[in-house]
Amino acid sequence: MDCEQIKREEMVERYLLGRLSESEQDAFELHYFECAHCFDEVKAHRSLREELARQRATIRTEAVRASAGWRWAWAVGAAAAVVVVSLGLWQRRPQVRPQPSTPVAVAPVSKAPEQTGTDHKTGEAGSTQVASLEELARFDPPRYSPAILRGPTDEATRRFREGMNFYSKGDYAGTIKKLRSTVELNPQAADARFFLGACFLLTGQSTEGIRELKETIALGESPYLEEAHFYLSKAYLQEGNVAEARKELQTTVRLHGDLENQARELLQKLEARGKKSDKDN
Amino acid sequence: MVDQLSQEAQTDLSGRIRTGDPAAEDELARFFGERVFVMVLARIRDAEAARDLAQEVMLSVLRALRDGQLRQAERLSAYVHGTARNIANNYLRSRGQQPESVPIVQEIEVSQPPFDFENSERRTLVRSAINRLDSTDRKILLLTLVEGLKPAEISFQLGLTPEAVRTRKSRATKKVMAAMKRLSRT
Repeated sequence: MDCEQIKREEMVERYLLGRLSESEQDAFELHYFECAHCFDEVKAHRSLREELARQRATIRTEAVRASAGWRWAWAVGAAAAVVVVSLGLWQRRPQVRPQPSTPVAVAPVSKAPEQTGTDHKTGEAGSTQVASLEELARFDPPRYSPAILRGPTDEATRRFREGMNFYSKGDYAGTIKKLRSTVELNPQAADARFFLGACFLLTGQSTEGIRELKETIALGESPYLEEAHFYLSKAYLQEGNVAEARKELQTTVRLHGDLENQARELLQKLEARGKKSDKDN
Repeated sequence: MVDQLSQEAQTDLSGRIRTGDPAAEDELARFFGERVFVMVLARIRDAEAARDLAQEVMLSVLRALRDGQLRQAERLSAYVHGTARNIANNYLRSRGQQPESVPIVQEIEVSQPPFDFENSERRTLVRSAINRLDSTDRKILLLTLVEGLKPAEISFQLGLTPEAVRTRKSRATKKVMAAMKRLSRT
């Protein structure tokens, strides 16, 4: 190990976060035991972390303000764009009217290959809404009901509960940290894997979300099997992969659980979207 | 004070301690004391205990050197590191505790480094450097370096792309480090 490798692989930062493997940690420590330059870097990073931690409350407030400002600017921009697009559509297709937005939560769509759909077919009994992938990918955070356990609990269970405390407060990043350590201790924990996958989706990390939901499914029969298939379909929709999303929804329907109807509805919407797309082409 | 410890310097230092040179013992403590503290703290994440264990490590090394127990004198730093690792691991075993189970943030809050003058000076430098940053950069540093979030997680919170978070974090870290170096020279 040399100074160049340490810099290139951000080892000082990873070391202080406890993210080096045991052998990397040993090698890095042995290096800074002899290298004054790298030990200075460790000390400087430690001081930086300590000072940031001391100023945490202030920094959070500042950033919230900045973030709120950004969101406000974004909202104004988005509203303006909606007005422009709606006017354009209205002029070109007078029979089309904007669709009211669906009041569901939070998942961002990382790749939304198509513009937000605002079409609503009219003039037909039982008409079908044609929603955009972005709308179809949205979902409410899965509900969590804590199990009441008696007797001593193991470390993995304790970490899971701590993670789900963050979850119930809407702190998905905090939940991810705890649940990651839970699945390290117990890779068979379907509940931890499922909520970890959901939290990844809720923080816009669809690739990681897909990985964890697939792991949940790979565990076989569990109380989270049906939900894992359903939310995996949402993850694929976030990625714009309609074919895989459809497969997951069909599996959800076949399981005949609580999400069967929602999965059927979603399949119908995807079907309608496909037909509209064919018609437009 | 020694900055780099070559094999020759390690052999020399070990030899001088063995022959009872008090200046050499001071040198050993100055060079390794803080390193051992930082290392043990990184492993056990408890500043109070790390301070006690670092003392224990230094005493144990000193006794071994005085008694001439170190066979490969040119590998003094490896010997100090090995002793520190064993003592930290024994501590963790005795508490039945894994290092990962203690939140990183908690460690930072309780940490009071033992070398007060140098550390308070460094703290002033780092505070001044942090205050010169843009508020979004400060938040990115807090979320990455203290809370351990990944760029993708932060990007969602701040409405930036992960790539932008990565770039801003790297630039802000370099700015702080450069400002600290500049300020420490003035």
